[in-house]
Amino acid sequence: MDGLRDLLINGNGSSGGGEFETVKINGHGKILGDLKCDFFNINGHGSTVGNVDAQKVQIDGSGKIRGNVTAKIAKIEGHSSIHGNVDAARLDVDGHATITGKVTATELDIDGWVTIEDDAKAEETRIDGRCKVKGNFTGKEIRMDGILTVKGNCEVESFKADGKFDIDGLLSADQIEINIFWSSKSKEIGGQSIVVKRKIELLNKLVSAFKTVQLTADLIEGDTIELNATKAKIVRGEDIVIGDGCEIDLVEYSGTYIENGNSVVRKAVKI
Amino acid sequence: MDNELISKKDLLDLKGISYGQLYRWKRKNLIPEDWFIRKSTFTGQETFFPKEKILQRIEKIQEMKEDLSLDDLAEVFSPTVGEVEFSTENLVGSGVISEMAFNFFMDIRNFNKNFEFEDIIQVYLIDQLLASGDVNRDEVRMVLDLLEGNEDLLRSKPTEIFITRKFGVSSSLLVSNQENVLFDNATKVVIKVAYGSIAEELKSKLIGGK
Repeated sequence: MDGLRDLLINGNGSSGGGEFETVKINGHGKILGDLKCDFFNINGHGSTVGNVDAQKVQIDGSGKIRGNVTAKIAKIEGHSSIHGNVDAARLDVDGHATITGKVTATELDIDGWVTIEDDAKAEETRIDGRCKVKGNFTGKEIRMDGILTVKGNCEVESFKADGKFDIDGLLSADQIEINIFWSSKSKEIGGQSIVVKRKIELLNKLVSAFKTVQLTADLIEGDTIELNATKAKIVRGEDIVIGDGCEIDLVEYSGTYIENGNSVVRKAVKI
Repeated sequence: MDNELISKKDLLDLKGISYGQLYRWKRKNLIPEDWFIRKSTFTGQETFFPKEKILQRIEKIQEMKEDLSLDDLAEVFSPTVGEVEFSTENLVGSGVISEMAFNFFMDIRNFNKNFEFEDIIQVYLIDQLLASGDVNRDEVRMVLDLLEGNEDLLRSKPTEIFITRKFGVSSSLLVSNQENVLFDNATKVVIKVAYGSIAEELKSKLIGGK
């Protein structure tokens, strides 16, 4: 991008789109037209109508983009709404973001709040804040400590949850590791290895609601399953261990079955 | 035609596969989401599959997974096509399509661009139809005309191609998401072929040949 101009809007201004080195909006700026640049930065109340294709996109203020965003790095620290798709090698949300289209990223790092109205696809996802996906969430690895809501299915290779999740469809992964601290739920859970443990912390023991904090699912199916603090209608698998605090209507196992805690299992059948 | 279903449980048992494998294959799009049919049974909700389709698919996966990665397999079964272009020498030379079918296609189409995957499917289809001996050249021409302009449908939904004959007059149809297609007694179904199967067959020949 050598020899290109910069576009700088300070105060109230508007401009057409085009190809630039750096595009910066400080104040009430508006850009009409597609943008292609090295660095795109909104520091005030900026908006663009058009697609943004940049190496780095940084929104610190209140940004509104009506178009698709393609970037190597997209960082959102303020309040932004993107009416389009986001395709980034790394998407970092520290502020508040609403994306009405699909998100495709290699790394997705959420410390703030993000709502994705369509599907999300990310190789590696870290959620420490709040993430809501109204479509399906797919990828390689999800590690979460905050709050994850998925309206569709969540299908990945590895799912590690220390936080709270609410999945309307199917949660599926080869390795599922859930540490229950807050109540979570998923309509169905399926995979190879499924382990649900209760996160015991000192504070927990003092909270009277502790007893009802659990994972709720209609159906859990896997090869090896270990459950604690789980309420499920049906659990099916090869080797199943039911530990403490579970309430299961039916267990169907083809290999081994062990009950080694304080749980209620209404029926266990070897098939 | 075949509406028989098989339960997930019976399928795992019959084919000797595990839950982990089934969920992984679903995730990798080797088994389409709409093959998972939910029904209420007296034990609760259970999942069923179209029996013939799922058994065939599992067999193919088990056969091919020694040679291809899961992602390659997903390519073979996906309804969308990659952005590969093929040269005509490679295609005819590799034996995937015959020179006769290729020439037939070129005659009808006045083709002068690079072959994309969807074009090759059409040539491959010509080959299959003519080789079967059931279909004549005019009928093949009719099908090609029908396919042209309907690429979006072919890409997005499971579609079947029909050629019917009644009192010596032929028709061709594209039926997508077929549940039941019924014809009167005087109509003979000459050919019924799933576009998706043709695409899969062709892809596995092309990928297998690499």
